[in-house]
Amino acid sequence: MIVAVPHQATDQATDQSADQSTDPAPPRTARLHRPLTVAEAVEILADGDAEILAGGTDLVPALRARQREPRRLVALRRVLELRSRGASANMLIIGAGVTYHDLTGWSLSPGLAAMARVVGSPQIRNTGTVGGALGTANPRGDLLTFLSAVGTEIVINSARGARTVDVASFLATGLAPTELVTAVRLPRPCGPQVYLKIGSRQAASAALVSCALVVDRVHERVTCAIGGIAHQPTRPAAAEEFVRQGVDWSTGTIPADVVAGFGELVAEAAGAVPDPLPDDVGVSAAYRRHAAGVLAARAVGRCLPAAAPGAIPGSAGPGSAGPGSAGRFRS
Amino acid sequence: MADSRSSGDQEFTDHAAAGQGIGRSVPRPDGADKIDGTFPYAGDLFLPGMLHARTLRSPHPRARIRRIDTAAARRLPGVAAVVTAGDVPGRATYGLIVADQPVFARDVVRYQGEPVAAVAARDARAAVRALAAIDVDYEPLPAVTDPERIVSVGGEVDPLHPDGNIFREIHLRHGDPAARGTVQVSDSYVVGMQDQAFLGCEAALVVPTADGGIDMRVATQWLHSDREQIAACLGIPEDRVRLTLAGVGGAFGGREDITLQIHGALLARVTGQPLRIRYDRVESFLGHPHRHPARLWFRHTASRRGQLVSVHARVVLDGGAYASSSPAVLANAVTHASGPYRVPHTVVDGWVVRTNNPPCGAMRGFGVPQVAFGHEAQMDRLADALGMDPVELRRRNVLEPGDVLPTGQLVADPLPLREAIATVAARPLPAPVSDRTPVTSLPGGRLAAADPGRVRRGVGYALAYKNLLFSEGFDDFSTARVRLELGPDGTPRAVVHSACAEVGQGFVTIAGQIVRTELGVDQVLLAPADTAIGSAGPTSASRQTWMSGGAVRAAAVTVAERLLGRAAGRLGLPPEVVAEPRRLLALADGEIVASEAGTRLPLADLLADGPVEAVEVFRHRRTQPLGPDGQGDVHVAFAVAAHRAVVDVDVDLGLVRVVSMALAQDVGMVLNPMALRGQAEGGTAQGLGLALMEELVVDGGVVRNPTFHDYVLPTIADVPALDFVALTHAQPGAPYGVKGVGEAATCSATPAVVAAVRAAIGRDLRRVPIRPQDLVLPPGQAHPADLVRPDAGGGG
Amino acid sequence: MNNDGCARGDIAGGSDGDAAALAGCGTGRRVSYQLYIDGGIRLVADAWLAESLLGVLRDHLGVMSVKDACEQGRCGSCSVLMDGRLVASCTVLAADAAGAVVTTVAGLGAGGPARAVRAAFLAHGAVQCGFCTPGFVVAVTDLLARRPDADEDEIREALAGNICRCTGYGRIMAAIRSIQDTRR
Repeated sequence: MIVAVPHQATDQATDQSADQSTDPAPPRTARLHRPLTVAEAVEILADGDAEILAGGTDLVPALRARQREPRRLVALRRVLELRSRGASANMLIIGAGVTYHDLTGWSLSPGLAAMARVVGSPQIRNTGTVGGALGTANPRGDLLTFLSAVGTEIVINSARGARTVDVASFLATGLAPTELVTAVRLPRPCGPQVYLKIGSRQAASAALVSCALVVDRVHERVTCAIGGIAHQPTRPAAAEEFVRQGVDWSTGTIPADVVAGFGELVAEAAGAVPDPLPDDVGVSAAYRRHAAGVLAARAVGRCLPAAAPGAIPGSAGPGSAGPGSAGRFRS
Repeated sequence: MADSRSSGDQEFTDHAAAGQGIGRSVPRPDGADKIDGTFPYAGDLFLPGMLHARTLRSPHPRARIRRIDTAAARRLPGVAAVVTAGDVPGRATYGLIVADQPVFARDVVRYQGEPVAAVAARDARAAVRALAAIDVDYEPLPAVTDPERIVSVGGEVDPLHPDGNIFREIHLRHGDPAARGTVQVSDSYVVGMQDQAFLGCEAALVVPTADGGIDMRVATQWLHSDREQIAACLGIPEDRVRLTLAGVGGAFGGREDITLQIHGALLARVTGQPLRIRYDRVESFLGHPHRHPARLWFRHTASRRGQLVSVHARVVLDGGAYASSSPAVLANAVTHASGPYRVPHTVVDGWVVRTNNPPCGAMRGFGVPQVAFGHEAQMDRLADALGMDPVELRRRNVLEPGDVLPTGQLVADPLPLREAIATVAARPLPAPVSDRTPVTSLPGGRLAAADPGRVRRGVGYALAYKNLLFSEGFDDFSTARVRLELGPDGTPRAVVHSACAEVGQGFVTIAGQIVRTELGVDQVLLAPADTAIGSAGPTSASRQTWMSGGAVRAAAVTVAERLLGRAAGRLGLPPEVVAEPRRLLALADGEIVASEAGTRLPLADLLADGPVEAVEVFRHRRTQPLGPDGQGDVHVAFAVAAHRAVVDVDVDLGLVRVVSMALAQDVGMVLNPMALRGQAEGGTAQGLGLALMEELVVDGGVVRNPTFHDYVLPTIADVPALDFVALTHAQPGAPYGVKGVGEAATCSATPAVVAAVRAAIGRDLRRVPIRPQDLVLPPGQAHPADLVRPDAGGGG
Repeated sequence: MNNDGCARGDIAGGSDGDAAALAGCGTGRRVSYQLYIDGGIRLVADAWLAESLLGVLRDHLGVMSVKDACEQGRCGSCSVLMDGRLVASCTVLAADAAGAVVTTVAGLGAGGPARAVRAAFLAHGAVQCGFCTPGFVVAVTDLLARRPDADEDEIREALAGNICRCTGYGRIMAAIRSIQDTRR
């Protein structure tokens, strides 16, 4: 008869037998840094061969599976200055350590809040951070798609100082190993914003396809980003220009044929990307192109209703009862 | 409900307030420990100084092994043993029905994930490192992944295994194969590969014993089958292989086959040290057999009035690389292919074939969910063709006692099909989508993409029946021991010993209820399930409540007899009364009551002379093998389920939300209303998962999504409340008239959801799981991988 | 920050008296540190640096109520509260949890909402195989502490990160509703 016990004893549980000098499988990761300030963090990164541990939702499972074995880890959990968010007259500034959860109730950016609420599960939203999403740069990442639509600057620090790049350049060129994303800066909403996402189930799902759409009433333009089509969010420039010209900016309304035409142009743009993502487990590439057009048309229709002039910034206006409109998620 | 049916709402409010016997919602005896997290699952078990074992698996779906070099791995510090095919001392192969699967691949690998070697090391990291140090020289071969091709060439070309490429074929013929009705519908259907996805990954703790055997604690569905296979491969007598059930984190068929047991036992014997072997999620996906993907074709014909005349069907199941339970799954698929309907003329041709895809075997429903998806789609198409209501068409054609099944078997027992479909059709419907419907309640849920103006509602029905217990003449039995004794505190208690694997289904609860009912004691202890007692058979085929419940009840009844006999002797009653004590004595409320004399004897007094014990073996009625033409009295009994699904579909995006599910299920009698409901709800959720999201995608023999990131399971946001009605008609031959309740609902849930989606969008749906593109893209674009590509692999 | 690049730098940075801060980095890749688990300080001796909180809780500290079903943050079986927030412990680096307050099912308390959740799970049949249950109990207790009157949609959203393969969630919803009904 086996005398097996549930594993409860503390001392026994520790792996005392392994002599590290002869361990055949020492994990490469040998140092954990837990800086308290950005200055400390970038000083550590300057020595190279370190990986940044942000929320951990991607990196920690990858460490366990030994898919990633950085020599050093720089954990940002205790860098409080990365966890602030704020606003100036026309910008929102969000620290890289801000979690999705922190954004879900943020009244200054209802669109961002709506996006944050549909990220993953509550556990992921409580853990995942803005900086982590940029570091992982998953081509379907919700945040990347949203930031691509609103026109975001990424603030990057290193021991040599700070620089900012726009999100598209950031995604194209990435981050040097010695650099740290410290914040993102995006314009304050000047009109409605929506984020629409298709997942593989009703909640707690990664985005298969998504669309962020931002209306700027001040500058009279519409910007849009589609996630899930290519290796970074797709900005359909021709479609954006088409809709800009089609909107009656004096009333904030949009004719139905412009909505439909916009969707078609977005689907067209999705079909023309140079680096399309292949068919995947859940959905085909053809479906994702189709859905991109549907989502884009819906997004613009929700932001710019046919008969609702004078909607206040940050709200989709009284005529739009459509689900997912930014106004619905104001809290 | 006013009749024999019991409405869920009335029936299920009783929470053990009034007793712990049969019919009560008794809570689980292991519930508190599971809630607190102190219940020990197999993967939690630990011995100081134990070794950690891991398995090396083939990266190729098919390859020749030129050479395996383990020298470098053996030399690594901390590595205690490396074993390969050459180290298997006994039979080189194992298998549930046919021993065709090598313990380790020797010359060839036949599926991606096939075990090639295993190591034991002083810690898990060293074990993983040792795996990486094993040098296997593979010569990849072209993988055969299209089951249709195997069927078309007769399985003789390019045999993947010495046993050939066809595990079984059945050609069922019933009635006149040329008979046709005037209305005809036909189509093809595809079922993807579903995984059991139990949460607690495979694990076992193994200790070598002085007699050269092993003790093993393992999460499994069938201890005695494991023991038999382990002993054969180790080449030692079965009595030196002692298995004890460890905590099981779900099973659903996925633990019916051997996975890590033989590897762990072998390493423990080679090293002479205790060890733990376990899988993580990826290895679990690669390591156990899945639900068979299926290619189906049906032609149904009926009279103008909607009477089924004939069903012709073709069933091709992809068994993957090894047999597992494939032969039995095919028999189920073929014999259930026309569904629970009266069909005078049936022709079913079925094959289950070997490919280089992952092995497939048992999963909840066992061959029936696949064909139920097809036959129910056909019934809806037939209703369309006839211009008839789909519920009415089903009502007209359901089987009834006295009818003959396509196997020639007579329907002898209650089969409340008409009642089931009528019940779900009469349940109140959910409110339609309106302007006030919150975004989270539209298709896509929280993700908020749906447009309420583009949402269409659909209502779908499905009816299914599922055989209970083992079929085809298998001599199935279960053993139980019940012992009535005085506990340490001097009060009477019963100890139940059975090898029945508790995998979450609630046998431990039911066993206690049975013993309390039969013996009137409050305290019932369950001894650990192990191989020290005879087999209880597997926890599968909806059989344990019936079979092991029957064994426990029989043992308890015998204990009661012996106790009354002892009482009769004590009371000085004549020998003929001692021989048949129930003539004068009864057991009630923990006392022996002599009814005529009014004498009462407390149990404790009687048990002071020593415990009373009985071992009983329970068997169900014998069935017959399936004849070459698919005929025979092959099934013991059936359970019936009807689902009504209501879905909303965003018709532009192809997003589906299940709004409500109603289920009427034939349960025999209700032993534990709460546990029953849990089975009905859990079974429904797994059927919903197959309809809408769950698929292990295999491409060219390679599993593309062996993680919970990509293998999508239903969450609490995906599964609506179940409107459940239990239909109670006592099952002859079963303890308390009970029927197994685990599987029937899984069989009807999938086709009901699909029918509702079809009704919402008016498009034929020929594949599960349904993907968004199947609903919005032209069919040619939606199905490129399934219906066009010649070698599309396992349903994906 | 000292320049050996070692976690000892934390001690300088953490001079705020943080008792559970990383206490040292050792000489190699194994570290010892303290975690604050369920109200007590637990020493993690000689652990690999790259281990997850889930791994350390189970393999070093013997906290087996935290379950390892997917180790990818997708199933919720390993849910704990970290500084009061529901997280999947498989996505947390254990050594980086030093200084945080970690609460497992055992630390939810014997009374209050946790007791009600435990009792309701048992009484309503919300447990079958039980592998997801401790994680669910943590998530439900957290939800009801924050949002005692959460409506059905909110409940389903809040628990969507916890997969149960046995129950189909019906009895879990019933248990939660019974707790809410009792409160009213």
